[in-house]
Amino acid sequence: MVKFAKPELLEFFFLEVTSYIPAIRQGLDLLALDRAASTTIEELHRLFHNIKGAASQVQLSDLSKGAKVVETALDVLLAAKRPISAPLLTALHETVDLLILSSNDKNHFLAAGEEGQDFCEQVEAIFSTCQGDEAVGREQHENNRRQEYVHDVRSIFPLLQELAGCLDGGDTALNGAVYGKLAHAVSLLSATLVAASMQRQGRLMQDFQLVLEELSFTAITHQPEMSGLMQDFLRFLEASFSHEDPENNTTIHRVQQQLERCKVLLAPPEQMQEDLFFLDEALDVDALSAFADPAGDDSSVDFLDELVGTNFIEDQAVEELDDELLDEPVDEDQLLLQAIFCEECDEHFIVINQSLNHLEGRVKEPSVLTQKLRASVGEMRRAVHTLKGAASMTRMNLLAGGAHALEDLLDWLHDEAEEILPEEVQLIATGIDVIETLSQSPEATDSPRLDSVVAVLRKYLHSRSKPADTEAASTDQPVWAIVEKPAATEQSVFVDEPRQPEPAGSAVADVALPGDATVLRVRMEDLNELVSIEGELVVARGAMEKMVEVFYQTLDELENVKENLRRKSQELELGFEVQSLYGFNSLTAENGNDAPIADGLADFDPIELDRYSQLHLIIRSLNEISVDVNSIHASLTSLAGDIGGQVGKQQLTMRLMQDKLMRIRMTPLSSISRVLFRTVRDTAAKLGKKATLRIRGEDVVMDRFVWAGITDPLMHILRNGVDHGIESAEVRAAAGKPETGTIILQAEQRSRNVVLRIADDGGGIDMSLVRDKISRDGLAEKPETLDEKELLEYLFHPSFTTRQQITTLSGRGVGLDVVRQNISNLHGSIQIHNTPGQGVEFEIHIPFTLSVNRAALVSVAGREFAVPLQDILQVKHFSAAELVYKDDTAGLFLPFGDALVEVSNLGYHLQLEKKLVPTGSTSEGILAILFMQGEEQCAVAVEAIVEQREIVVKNLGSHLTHVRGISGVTLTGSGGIIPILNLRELVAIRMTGGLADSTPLRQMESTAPPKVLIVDDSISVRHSVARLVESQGWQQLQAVDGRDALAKMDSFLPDVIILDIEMPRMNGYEFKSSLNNQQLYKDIPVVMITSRASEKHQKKARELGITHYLTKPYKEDAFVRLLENIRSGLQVRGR
Amino acid sequence: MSSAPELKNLIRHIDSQPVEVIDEEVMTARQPAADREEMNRYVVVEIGALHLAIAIDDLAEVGPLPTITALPNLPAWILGIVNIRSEIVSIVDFVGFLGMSGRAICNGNRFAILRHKKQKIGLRLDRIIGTVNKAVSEKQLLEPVDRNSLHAGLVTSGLLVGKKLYYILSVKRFLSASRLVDYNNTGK
Repeated sequence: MVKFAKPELLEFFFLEVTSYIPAIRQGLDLLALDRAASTTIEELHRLFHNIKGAASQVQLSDLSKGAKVVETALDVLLAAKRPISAPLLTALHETVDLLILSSNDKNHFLAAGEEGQDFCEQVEAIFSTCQGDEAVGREQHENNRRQEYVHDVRSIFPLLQELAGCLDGGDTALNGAVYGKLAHAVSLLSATLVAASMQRQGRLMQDFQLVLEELSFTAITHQPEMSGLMQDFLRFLEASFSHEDPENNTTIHRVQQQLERCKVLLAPPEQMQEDLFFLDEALDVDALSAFADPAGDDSSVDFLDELVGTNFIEDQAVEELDDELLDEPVDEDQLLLQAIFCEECDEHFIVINQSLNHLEGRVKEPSVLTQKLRASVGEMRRAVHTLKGAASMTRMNLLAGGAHALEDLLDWLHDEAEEILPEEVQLIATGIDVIETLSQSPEATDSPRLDSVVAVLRKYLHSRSKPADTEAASTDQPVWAIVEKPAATEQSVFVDEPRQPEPAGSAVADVALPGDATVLRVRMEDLNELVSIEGELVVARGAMEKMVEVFYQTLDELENVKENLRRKSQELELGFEVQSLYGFNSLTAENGNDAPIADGLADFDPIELDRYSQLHLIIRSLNEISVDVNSIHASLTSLAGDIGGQVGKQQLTMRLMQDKLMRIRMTPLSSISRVLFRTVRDTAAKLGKKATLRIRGEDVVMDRFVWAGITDPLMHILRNGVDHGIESAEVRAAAGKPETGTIILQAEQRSRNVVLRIADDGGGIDMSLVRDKISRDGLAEKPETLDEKELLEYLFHPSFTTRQQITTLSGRGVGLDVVRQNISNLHGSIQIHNTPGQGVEFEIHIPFTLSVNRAALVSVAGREFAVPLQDILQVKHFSAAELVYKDDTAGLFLPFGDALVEVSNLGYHLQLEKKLVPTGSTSEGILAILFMQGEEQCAVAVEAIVEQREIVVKNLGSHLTHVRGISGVTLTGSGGIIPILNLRELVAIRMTGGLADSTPLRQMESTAPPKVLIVDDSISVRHSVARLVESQGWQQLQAVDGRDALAKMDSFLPDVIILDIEMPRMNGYEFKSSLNNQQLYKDIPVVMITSRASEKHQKKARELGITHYLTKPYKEDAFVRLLENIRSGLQVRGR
Repeated sequence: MSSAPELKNLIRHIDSQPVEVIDEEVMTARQPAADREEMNRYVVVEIGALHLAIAIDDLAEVGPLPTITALPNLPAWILGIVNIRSEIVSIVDFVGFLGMSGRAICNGNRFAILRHKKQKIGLRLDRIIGTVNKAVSEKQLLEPVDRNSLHAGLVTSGLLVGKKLYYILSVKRFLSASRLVDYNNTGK
């Protein structure tokens, strides 16, 4: 906190300031008459300097800073030796007013303190406006000066043009002289431009000067048109200086371009020959017409007009594009904008492609534009328009230009056309393809394909929109054929005046203000991170639930203890209190000082008067403790209830959050449909086939990540369908099929799965070819015994192909194995259904999300596995009477609906058990999970269903990218791993012979840490042993005596017991005897650790079957070795 | 949740204890080398009958082996997966991976997580013997006995610690070995 000076000092300060005011006023008045009066300015500067210093002295720093603002402004003025401007004068007047106001209200300074002052802020506000005006003034001055120079420079060019007219084709000496003169003149121009702060134009003139000098020294003969060329170029330069700001990027860039072209054209003939090819490539039509043809003045003029005209100035988009070409740094915000735009494009392209698909489906021949068709065109037009506006805003001018041309056609179709032709739809599709490609390449600066398409669009529109030309247009070759032609030929026929793209501002109307927006874009990775965090929360909540369970158990134990305590204290009270009345001296009698008092009470019988001994007090306090424990227990029970309630609420909230997050990630099939349409279209075009794709169920949604993962497999299947499946037109005609082959992609939501069916109406798979291939490659011992289903499975083998020839599209045998792999990675499955002569259907089942799921935890061979609920049709216990054996297949079947479903042992598929057919079926029946394997119902037997719970799917780490039959793992609250089963894949392995009889059984928990029960009444010993045990990665539990140990063994079956001998309630020998009487416990190895080293004790232990006997103090190393040995023994025995 | 100790702490702990394999002779012999050239630090371990040295830079973690969850349809030498602080890591029986059936099987309850770039794989260990600092010049190039053997490229040099030779495991090559990566297509 700033301490203010004494009020007297402030008084003096304000008196001083007040004394300056008249002088300042007077100075300002003088300046109003003579703005250049430097002495007056100096005087004002001095006065404000004084105010600044004085204010600082009395610790009015705000006022001091304000005065400094004025002082600085006057400093600048004095340094520049400029007259004071009107705004600055006004600002000084306002400052003086403010100063007077502050002086009159000095109490304000005292009361408000430093923080409350705002003098400086106000002065800065006044001067910022003024300085802005000053800057504008200076800029104006600079501009005026530059305009004068520009005017002078421009006036020289006509003279130079005249001089260039003297160039003669044959007279080399004259030409040399003319070039020399021109070079000299241009050097002067260059110097003038640099002096006028037009450095870039100056440098260009230097370049031009060098060209001219070189020409002057080279005795060359010219073509007669060179004179005209030089004149044209000088006229071009004159035109460029007609522009208001010749230093702007566009002008500089164009002059630079034309200078380069001019250099090439003016080069000596031999070099020109060499560059001829380059010229063809480099020069555009306009430039050639401007420079090469002396008779082409008209086109030169057009060119110059273009340069000088309004386009030059207003073509903001081109200018900005040129800015980029001039190596100006790329703005990071711009990149961000482009990234956002790319994402936004997706939405627009979905709409566009939906409409396009509609048009493609309906317009097979020239069709009248019905209301529906027109609506489709309208929707597409809206989307293209928005796309164009957004592209302009994002400076993706190529795309904007393409969209603009496309919009023209759509406008015409929507507003004027009576009918729509198939080639128009095709043209639109091509245009969409091109701009979609461009949307993925924001950095692209040119696109010959786009140029070509734009030219065709315009030409087509031009011809179609003029009835007189319709005939001519119709005789043209098909539109798609034109599109494929080189751009140059199309550009040369383009005569239509291009409509200028709408200014970027027009798109603003389409863009909602941030505050009004109902949609917020979020980066996918952020969302994924959020989902991942949410998953961690689910796991953490699981751990919390477990803890709450333990807490409840502990409360139960506490209740037992509380009851014991209450009972014991009551026993004490009832049993001993009465006796103590007679047997113990009262507390008062023990106190010597109070002896007379006690003697005075001797007449009372103990029944007549209570007398309290020390024991009394202990018993009473024990009672009170019991009551306190009771109270604490009640509080804890209540608290546990509250915590349980909160955990329950949390569970509900998190489930809600999961659903919401999942919904955010969901996108419809239509989000990828355009890619699929394009795949079919392109493949068919390349193969010269006619094929069309129909998509049903475009509104079926899946996790965006899943769509991304399934797109490649779908594209592969579609390419295969067109290439392998759809026959040639002749074959189809012979088979009585329509000329155009059809592939139908159908999506269907089935519970938490999506089923995708891709069916073609082609020739189907020739099974004999598959069988031959298997036989030829020796892939199966007896291929002839394989049924169709088994044969089809071989199509998913790596490098399996029945094609004799490799094409760019297929036939390499790389594909379906990868397709299956990709689908498996998404926890899905794929099957093939073949109908020879009629086509093939691929059926893909895929969970619509991979993030959070619900699963049934099942127990198999003592282990837990998770089965996603969406995979389960039903879980049912079948009684022994319901089971059906079939001798022919040696299989066991379950009645399900009207059918019998074969059941297998899940433990077998998991390589945990040897028998495929479930055991225990004769007496207890079978608990089975029924699920769908493609179109078939399947069943697996499990031991038990542990629970149903939420799971968070985690992958199998960086190494195990895919384990057949396992789609991931989930973690328990305590960190345990539960594999998540992909039942379809798991069961399919057996079908394809993936599991040989000799496959070793997995020792699933082979390294589960051994469990050690430490039984000792000494807490120190227990903890000491526990530390050693845990250091070996073993799991331990402690018990205080034999009885406690027996109780704990109900829930904790140890592998080893560390046992003391002497303990209360049940000693070590008694405990071991008790174990020996129980089948489950009798073989558990026991290590006795005791201080009793006598042979007698050891003998007793041996008699009870205790073979490990250590005496305290024992060596830790020996103890650890002993544990290791026991553990090895356990492993040998197959624990 | 498993709570494996930090690698640095563990190594510090190991270093603080006298390690029988690093005898005084070795300690004194390595001192001058340390002054002269750059030293590499290795963790030396036992896997069955194999004695390996693993560069500490290639290790993400060593510690007591958590419960391995075995998975079906994998080669026997992939023992399963473990949960290391919510990260799933596969555990490999290195002896089995090499196909050295005659060698003693590793039953240890320790593990080391090898890492290269983003890939992590755990090796089940019988024993973590200690750490050693060795100069590059102290590496002994091994004569490849069988160039076709699985471990031909995985172990090309060794370290003499005391009188025992420890093979330096090339973690990069191991983690990119086709047998390891294409586990679905390799033999059991």
